[in-house]
Amino acid sequence: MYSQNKTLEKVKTFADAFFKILFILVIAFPFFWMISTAFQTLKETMRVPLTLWPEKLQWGNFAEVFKTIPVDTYLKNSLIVCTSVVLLQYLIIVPCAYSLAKYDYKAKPLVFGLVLLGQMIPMQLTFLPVYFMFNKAGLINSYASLILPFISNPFGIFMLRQYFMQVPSEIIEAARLDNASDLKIMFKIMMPMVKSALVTIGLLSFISNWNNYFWALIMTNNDLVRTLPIGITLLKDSETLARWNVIMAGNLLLVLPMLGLYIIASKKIRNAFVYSGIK
Amino acid sequence: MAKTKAKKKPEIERVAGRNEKREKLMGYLMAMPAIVLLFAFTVYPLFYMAYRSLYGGSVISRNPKFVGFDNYKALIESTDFHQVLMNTAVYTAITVGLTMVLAIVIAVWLNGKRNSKLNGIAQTFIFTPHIISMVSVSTLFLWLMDSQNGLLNVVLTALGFEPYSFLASPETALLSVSLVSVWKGLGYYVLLIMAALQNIPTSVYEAAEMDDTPPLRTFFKITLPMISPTILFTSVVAVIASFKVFDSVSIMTGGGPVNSTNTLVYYIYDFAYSYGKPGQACAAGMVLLLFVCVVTYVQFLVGKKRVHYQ
Amino acid sequence: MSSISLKNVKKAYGDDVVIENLNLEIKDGSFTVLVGPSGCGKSTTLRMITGLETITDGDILIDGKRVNDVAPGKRDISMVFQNYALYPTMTVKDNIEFGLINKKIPKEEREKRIREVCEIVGLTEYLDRMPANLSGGQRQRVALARAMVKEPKVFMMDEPLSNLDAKLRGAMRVELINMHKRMGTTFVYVTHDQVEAMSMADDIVLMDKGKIIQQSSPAELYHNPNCIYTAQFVGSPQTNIIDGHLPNEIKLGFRPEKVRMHEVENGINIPAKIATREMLGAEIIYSLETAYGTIMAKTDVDMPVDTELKFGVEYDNMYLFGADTYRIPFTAELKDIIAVVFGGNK
Repeated sequence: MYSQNKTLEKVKTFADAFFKILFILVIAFPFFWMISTAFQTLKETMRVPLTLWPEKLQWGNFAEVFKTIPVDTYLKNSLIVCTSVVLLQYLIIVPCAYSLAKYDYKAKPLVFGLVLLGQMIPMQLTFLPVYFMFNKAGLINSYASLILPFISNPFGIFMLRQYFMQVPSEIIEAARLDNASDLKIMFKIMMPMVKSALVTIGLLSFISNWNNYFWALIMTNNDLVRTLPIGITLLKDSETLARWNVIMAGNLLLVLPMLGLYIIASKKIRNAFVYSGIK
Repeated sequence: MAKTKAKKKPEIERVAGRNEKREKLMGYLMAMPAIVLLFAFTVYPLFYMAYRSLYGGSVISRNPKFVGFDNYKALIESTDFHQVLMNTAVYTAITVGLTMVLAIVIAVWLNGKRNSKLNGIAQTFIFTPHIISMVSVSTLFLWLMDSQNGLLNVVLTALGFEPYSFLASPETALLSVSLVSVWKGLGYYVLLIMAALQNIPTSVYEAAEMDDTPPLRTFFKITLPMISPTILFTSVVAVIASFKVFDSVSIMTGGGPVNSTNTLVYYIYDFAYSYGKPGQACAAGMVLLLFVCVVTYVQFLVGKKRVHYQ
Repeated sequence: MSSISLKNVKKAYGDDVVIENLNLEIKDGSFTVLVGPSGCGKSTTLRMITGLETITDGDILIDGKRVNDVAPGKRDISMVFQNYALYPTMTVKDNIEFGLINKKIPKEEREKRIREVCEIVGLTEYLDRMPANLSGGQRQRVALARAMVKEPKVFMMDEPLSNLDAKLRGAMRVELINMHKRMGTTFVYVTHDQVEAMSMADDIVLMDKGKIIQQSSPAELYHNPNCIYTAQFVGSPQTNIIDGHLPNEIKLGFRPEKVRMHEVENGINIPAKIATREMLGAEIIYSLETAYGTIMAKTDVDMPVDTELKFGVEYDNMYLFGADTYRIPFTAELKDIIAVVFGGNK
C-alpha cells in the first residue's frame, strides 16, 4: 500500500515536471523565435517548412538595421533620457519623501495627497494638455519634454517616504547634536540607509523609461531626439517588403539591454515590481 | 501628559529638535521641487483638459472658440465613440478576465511543493515579457501573426486550415490585441498572487490535510477565499492598466480594421493629432478621467477591505 | 565643565502644557540624575537642554549664557540615546568621527582623540565594524565613545542602560561613575529607575507631572523626603503611610526597613499578625496586618507566617506629612498625639 503510494507520487512528480518544462518552453518560445528570426536570411524567414534555426548566423541583419534607421542616435537618445530621469529624479523625490516622513508642517497632508494623485493619474490622461504646454514653451522635440514629466516620480516618493518613516528619529537627533546640517543629514545619514529603495526605484524607472513608446511618440517627431522604441516602429514601417529578419534584429537591440538587466538582477527586479503592485 | 503629547505629535512624523518655524520652512523647501513638478504635470493638465474640452478649434489655433458642451454632445452622438467605449470595455473584460484566471491557476501550480527548482525557473521566464517594451512585444506578435509567413499561419496551413489574417479581420483583431496583452502581463500578476499565496500560513494547509480534504476542495474552500482580497485588488489594478492601452493598438492595428480595435486613449490621440480636434479629444479625456476616478475609488474600497482581512 | 540653569521654562504642544514654570540649577561638574515615572517630563527637560525640543517660554542658560536660540549642534552637548541611535551605514570609526568632522577638527587631532577614547571604552579592535555586527554592550560603548570624543561641556544620557541585560547594566553603572570622575564634565542623566538614580547621582532631581518634586543628594532624598511622593518613590517596598488616624489629616510615614520586629522604647508599638513572608536572602519582607491597614516590614529577623507580635517604630524614624502631602516638622506636641493614638511610650 505504502510503496504503491510512493510510485504514484513519483509518477505525479514526473508528470508535473514534464508539464512545467513544457510550460517554460511555450512561454519562452516567442523570445526564441525573435532571436532565431533575427539571424535568418530573408529567404529563410519565408521558407516552408519553417526554419527553426538559421543555417548560418546572419550578423549582417544588424548592419542592415543601422543602414535603414539611425540606430546610434536613437540609442544615444534613449540612454540620455533614461539616465537623466534616473539620476535627476533623486534630487526631486528624496527631499520630498524625507520632508513627508520627518518634517512637520501644515500643508503636509495636501502634499501627500498630491503625490497620491500623481500615482493615480496616468500619463495617458494628461498627455494632451502637457503637449500644449510644451508646445507653448517650445519644448516639443527636446530632451526636456521626455525627462521633466518623469523626475517627480510619485511612486518613488511614496516608497521612499515609507522607508524614511522607519528610520528612528533619534538617529536624526544624534546627527543634529553632531552639528550636521539638514542637507548633510539627508545625504550622509538618511540616503545610505534607504539604499535598497533607491536602487529599486532607479531600476523601475530605468525600465519603464527605456520601454516608453507612448510619451516619445507624443513629444517628438524629429530623429535628433527620438528614442529607440520609436526607432523600432519606424524600422517596421519603413519595411514595405517586411524584411522580418531585419525588424527582429532591430527589435533585439531594444530587448537585449532589458534582458541583460533582468539576468543580472532578476530577483531584485521581481521584488521591485511586487512592491509596486501591492504597496 | 505625555499621553496627550504622543497623540498630538506622533514621534515618527517629526524631526524634533529645531526651531519650529525653521522646521516648517525646511519641510516646504524640500518638498517644493516635487510639488511644482507634480502640479505642472498632474493637476494643471486636468484642469486645462476640463477647460479645453469646452472649446473648439485646432491644435494650433490661437484663439479657440468657446463651444460649451458641444464637444461632449458630439461624442455622445458619435457612433464611432460608442464603438470605442465598447471596444475598451471588451478589451478590458477579455484581458483582465483571462489574465486573472490564468494567473491564479499558474500561481497555485507554481506554488506547489513539487519540483521547486522548476517553479523558480518558470517564474523567472513567465515574468520576462513584463519588462520588455510593448513595442517589441507587439512587433514580435505582428511577425508571429503575419498573414503570409507568420508562424501561426504556417502551422495552420500545415494542419490543413486556410491561412487567416488575425489582425486584419474585425472579428479577431481586438481579441488578438488582448491576447498579446495577456501574454505580456501574465507573469506580473502571477507574481502578485504568488506573494499572496506565500502569506497563507502552512498550518492552515496542514489542518486541511488532517481533515483529509481533497485538493480541489482545498483550493476552492481555503486557498481562493484567502487570496480573494488580493485577487480583487490586483483585478482593479489590471482594469486601470487596460484602460490605458495604446502601444499595442498603435503598433499592431492602428485602431482598425474598421475601428474594431480603436480604444479610448488611441481615440483621444487620433482625434487630437490626426483629425486636429483637441477640444473633442479633451472631452473624451474627461470621460477617461471619470472612468479612472471610479475605478480608483473601487480600488480604495477594496484596498481598505484587504487591510481588514489581513 | 559647565553649569546649566533653567529659568521659568514652559513647554506646550499647542494647548497641551507639558511643563510649566520649571526652575532647575545643574551644578558644574555634577552627576545630576533626572528621575521620575514615564511621562513626568524628565526626557522633555533633557531634550530642551540639548535643544532637540524648543521651549515655549523661559530661558535656558549654559555657563550663564542664554542658549534658547542656539542650534543643538552648537551647544557643546553630547548625548547618549536609549536606543544608541548609531548611524547604521557607518563603521564604528566613522560614527565616532562624524561629529568631529562637522566641527572641522583637524585630522591628526581627530585620530588622536578617537584613539584615546577607544582605549578608554575598549573599542580599539572594533573600529572597522558596522554597528549591526556588534553586541548590545558594544553598541552602548560606541554611543559613549561618540559622545565622549567631542569633549563636550555637558554629557547627556537618556535611559542609556535600559536596553542592556541586568548584569551588564550593573557593570556599566560602575563604569559611568568612573567615567564621570575621570572626565569631570557635567553629566545629566535621565532614568525612571530609582536604583540607578540613587547609585550614580550626586544630585537627584525627582520629577512628577512636569514639576520638580525634590532636588537633593541621594542620601538626603532617602533620609529627608519632602513629601509622600518622594518618600514612596525611593526605597522598596514603599514607605508605609498611615492615614486617617491623626488630626488635621496628618499622615504618618515610616520605611519598611525601620520597622523593628519587637517592641521599642522610644517609639510606638503596634499589634500585628504576619500575613505574608518574602524571603530575599539576607532580608525578609513581611506584610503585617494591623488595625491601621497593611504595613510592610523589611528585616533580617526570621519569623513564620501567622505569628502574632507587636512591632515597633522609633520616633526618630518617622515622617509626618500634612494634608497637602508635604512634610511637616515633628514637634513635641505631635509626638504626644502619636503616642496617644498608636499607644507608644512617651
